[in-house]
Formats: sequence, structure tokens, C-alpha cells
Amino acid sequence: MKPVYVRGLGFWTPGFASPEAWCRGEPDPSVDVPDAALLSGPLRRRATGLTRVAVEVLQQAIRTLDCDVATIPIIWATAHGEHTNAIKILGMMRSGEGKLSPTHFHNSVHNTASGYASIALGNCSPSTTVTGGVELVASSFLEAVCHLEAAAEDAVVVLADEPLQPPFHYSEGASPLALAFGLSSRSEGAGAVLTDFRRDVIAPVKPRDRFGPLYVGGGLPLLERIVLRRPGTVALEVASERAGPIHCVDLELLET
Amino acid sequence: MSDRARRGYPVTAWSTVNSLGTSTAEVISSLRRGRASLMPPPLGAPIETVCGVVDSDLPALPKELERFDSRNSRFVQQALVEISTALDAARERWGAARVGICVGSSTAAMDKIENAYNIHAETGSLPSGFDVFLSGSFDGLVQTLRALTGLEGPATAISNACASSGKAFASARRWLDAGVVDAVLVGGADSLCQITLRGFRSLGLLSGEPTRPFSSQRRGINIGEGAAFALLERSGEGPRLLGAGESGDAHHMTTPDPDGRGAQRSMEAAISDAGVSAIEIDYVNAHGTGTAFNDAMEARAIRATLGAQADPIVVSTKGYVGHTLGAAGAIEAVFVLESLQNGWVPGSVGADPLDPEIGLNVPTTAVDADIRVALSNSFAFGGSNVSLVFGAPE
Repeated sequence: MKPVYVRGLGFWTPGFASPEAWCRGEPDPSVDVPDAALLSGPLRRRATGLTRVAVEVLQQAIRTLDCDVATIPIIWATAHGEHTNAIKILGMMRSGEGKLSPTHFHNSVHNTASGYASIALGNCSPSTTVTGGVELVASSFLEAVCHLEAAAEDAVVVLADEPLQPPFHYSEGASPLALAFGLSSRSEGAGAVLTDFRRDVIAPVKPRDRFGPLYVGGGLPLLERIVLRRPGTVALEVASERAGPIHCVDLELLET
Repeated sequence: MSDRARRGYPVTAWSTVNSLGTSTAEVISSLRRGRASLMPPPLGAPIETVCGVVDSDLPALPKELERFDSRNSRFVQQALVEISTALDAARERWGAARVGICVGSSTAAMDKIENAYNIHAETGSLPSGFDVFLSGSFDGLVQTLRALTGLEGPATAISNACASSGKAFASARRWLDAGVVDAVLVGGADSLCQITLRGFRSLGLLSGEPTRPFSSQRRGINIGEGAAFALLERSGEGPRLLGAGESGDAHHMTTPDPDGRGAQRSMEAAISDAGVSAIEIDYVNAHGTGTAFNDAMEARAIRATLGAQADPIVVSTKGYVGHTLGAAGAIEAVFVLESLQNGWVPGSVGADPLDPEIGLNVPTTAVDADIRVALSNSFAFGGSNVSLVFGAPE
């Protein structure tokens, strides 16, 4: 497969509004709600928290990708999707409010962020929302890489999840997490290149306390090693009961 | 057909479970006879509608997989039984690590999450053994498929609402094109749940009567459930997946672009990817939800895409099984594969009297026809569109 150049990154969690701030460990307490300026007023008002964090990292990643935002394929990855909104809906149904609002309903699908972003960007591309568990991050990169192998010049991977809400909480007090990778067949301006996506016997990604067991955390080491300039083989899966080889990729750094 | 179109990827086995039956033979027999299967929903929802309900007790998952057991995973298990021999052969032929899984679903096992939520509200505890990751999530769906098939290639779930399993075919085709795998088990599964029924009611789209796509008397959607799978291989015998096209409307979260430009782009992309010309399309299995807006938009888009010279048979099969949401693309792909394999097209049940504004050749009873190339559409919330082109066996 062709080498995949990384030409843009995005990161958001409360306290950290950029990949660099996260990797330097410099929190900013004023970062509590994502800007998501890409969404116009009416779209932003209707958008869920998950959609806002996902759109926030998308707009960070495309800033340096120098791509056609109307045509770029965007791969959205989320394990739980709009779980927070779904719990609200279950509560409304339970309390006898019965009738849902159309907005609550359309905000419950996994591809909610994709829909909002496509409207905001005028993006008519074949964007896809992938979901799942330990293989989530690898699946999203597989989708993007196959687009690049086919016809696309650029693609963005957006990983975003919120902690599960009561009564299903696994990780009470954990933070939402979103990261994005602007990928390209073009090397100009790229700081890193990814080669040889494969399964191999290496250590999986350790879950961080801050994010609990969020599967999108499987993308954190890749983002951190790109920012901190640490090449090598990088795992794309969080630790799980699954035995055997895990998804990984080789990261090489480029002079920019 | 051009040489390029002949390449495609053969679909060497397929199966489905839905309201028409729990075996593909049963489903296809009902389809051929024009027998719809819609009934009031079994969920206790205070909603006057009819649904495509799988009205059979399907076996639970084996003991060692019971943590994944759900209505949805039982559909999956049932659908896999019929193609297990073909899956074994593919695993033997290509190696388990070279056979992937790509499955689409809109809600996974949301009915089980709804039930757990209600039990928690009444008792203060979640049901014994309930694990939202394993039994209620998309992760559970993927793990169930891995465990039931023993396949070790890439495994992905796609959730683009009602385009989910159609897009699973598009992704699987890219995997094969990129050489990541030599075969893919591709499909979809969705089960009825309260959120879906109440949600579509909130949009004013549910029909209280059996849905009537393309009819002047159409009143809206019926929701359905089920699963379907197809085995795509790099080489082999069978009808072929010739091409896939995807697009976004970039218009509205729930309302399609009224001019059908997004739908037209996905159909044009699929036809181009297949290497066929629009005039070669013999049959269109339409998205055809039975809402006034969708059917008018889709008819306009089909006419604009295929041109005045084309006169394909256009059918919506949602009058038989309802709109099976994330599973619809895969279930309707199975209907198309049967048409290509056996030379007939089901009637578009409920379409009579046909809306004259539709302007398409919509038969209301099954017709024998030598179908060489067929197109299947799925459109979804978020403006997500996918079209697939299949070809007859060589």
C-alpha cells in the first residue's frame, strides 16, 4: 500500500484544545466547551456535545491539510456514538413525555457529527461512520487508507467519544476525548508518514485514567508520538481480553 | 458490458432473515408470491402502525457467547447458518486472516439497552449479566460475528443510519480493491426498538397502514427488522458486485435534497465505478420508503441519472418487510442477487395506483425478466447516500 502522510492533527478534551497543549501537558482551565466554529449558529445550537467535539478536531486537522473540504472523505469513528442523547431520550420515554422531538431523534444516530459537518462544509463526499470496540481505531484508519488507495488525495480520520452515562457508566468522571488525523497521498508539508498497517505482536495501548476505557484512546499514542517526534511501531488498539497480534503501524518522521 | 465491468467481485453465497421468513428460501418464496408481511409492533409502543416483525423464536446464542445474546445477534446467527458451508470454504481457500467482516447497523441491539434502562428505573439495578458494551453495542455485533465465523481479517461495523449496510458493501469493495483481503463477509442487521418507532413518528413519517411506495396513496414508512449477509470473494461463481457509489447531500439532517442531487451523485458514482452505461441498468431496487417526499425525490433522481432512453424496472421491496433501517441495504442486495440469479423481479407491492408523477416503470406483481445489471439505493439521515451496482453471473 502507498505511504500515508500525516499533514494535520486535531485534539480536544476539557482543559486541552490542541495536540501540542496535550502533549506538553499544559492544561488551560478555560477550555471547557469546544469552539466548533465550523458550525453556523443554528447548527451549533442543535448540535450535541459529541458532535461539537468531533467537529472541533476536524476543523483543527483540515487547517493544515490544505485540502478541498467539499470533496474530502471524512471517516468518523465512535464506539458509543450519541449515547448521551440516547439516554436522554430513554428518560423522556420513561417519564411519559412520549413524543420525541425530531431533533432529539436525528441527533441519536451514529453519523450525527458527519451530517452536521457535511452541511457546514458543503461536503458531498462518501463519508463513513465506523464503530465497534478494540478494533475501532484500526478500522477507521483502514477506511481512510483504502480511500487513499482508490482515488482520494486526502482523507481525515476523526475519533470521538464521550464516557458512558448512568445507568450504564463504566467510567464515572471520565472526560470526552476527540482526536483527528489529516491524511494524504501528498508528502508536501507532512511531518510524518505511516507505513505498513498490520497486525503484530506488540504491547497494546494502556487505557488512561482520565478517559477510562474509551476505545478512541487507541489513537492517543500515535498522535503523541507524531507531536513529540518519536518514530517507531505504534499500537492502534487499547488493551483488551483479545489475545494475539494487534493492529499497529510504522511511524517515520519527515523534515518539515 | 465492458471488460472492466466483467471484473467485479462475485457474491458466492447470501442469506437473509426478515419478516418474510427465517430462511432465504422462505423469504424469496413470499417475495415471489407478492405476500407482504407486516403486523402491529410487539413492543407495547402506543403507536398505530405496522412493522416488518421477525415473528419467530430464534435460538439463543451458544452458552459461551451468551453475553452477546440479543434479538439482533440472533438474527445474525440465524442468517449465518445458511452460508456456513460457503464461509468454511472461503476460510479454507483464502486463510482466516484474509477474510474480513464488514457489517452495517443503525441501532445494533438498542432494544436490549431500552429494556435494561427500564429495569434499572424500576429496580435500581441493571439486569443480571447485562453489559452495554457486549450485548447492546456495535462492538458486541462485531465480536459475535468473529466468534460465530472464526474469521480473522479486518472487522468493521458501519453505522450511517439507513445507509449502513449498503455502505458496508462499498467499504468491502475498497478492501478488495486495495488488496487488504481476498474475501469479505458483508451484511447488516437491525432490530425493532422504541426509539426508532417513536422517532419516526416524531418526524410524521410513520404510516398507520401497510406502506405503499410509489403509490399515489402512499402515507409513509413502516419500520422492519432483520439481517442479511453476502460473501464477496476475489474470484468465484455467482452474481457480481460491479460497483459502488456514495455521496453526501450536505443539505439537511433528515430531509433529502428535494432535487435529488445527492441521490443522483451516488447512482452516477456507482454506475461509473461499475464501468457500465446508464442504459444498461435493467432493474432498480429503490430506497422507496413510501413517504411522499422520498419517493418523489428518488424518482426524479433515477430519471435524471438514467436518462430518457432508459426504461428499467423500478421496485421498492419495503412494502414486504418494511424499512429495515441499517439492514436495508444488505436485505435488498439479497433480493437483487436473487433477481440476477433467477431472472425475475418482485412486484412493488402497494404501488397500485401508481403516482403518475413518479414516471417510472413500476410493476405491481412479479415479472420474469432477464436482468443483467441492477442498481440498489439506500439513503439515510445525515444526507448519507449509497448505490450499488450488481451484475448477473457470467
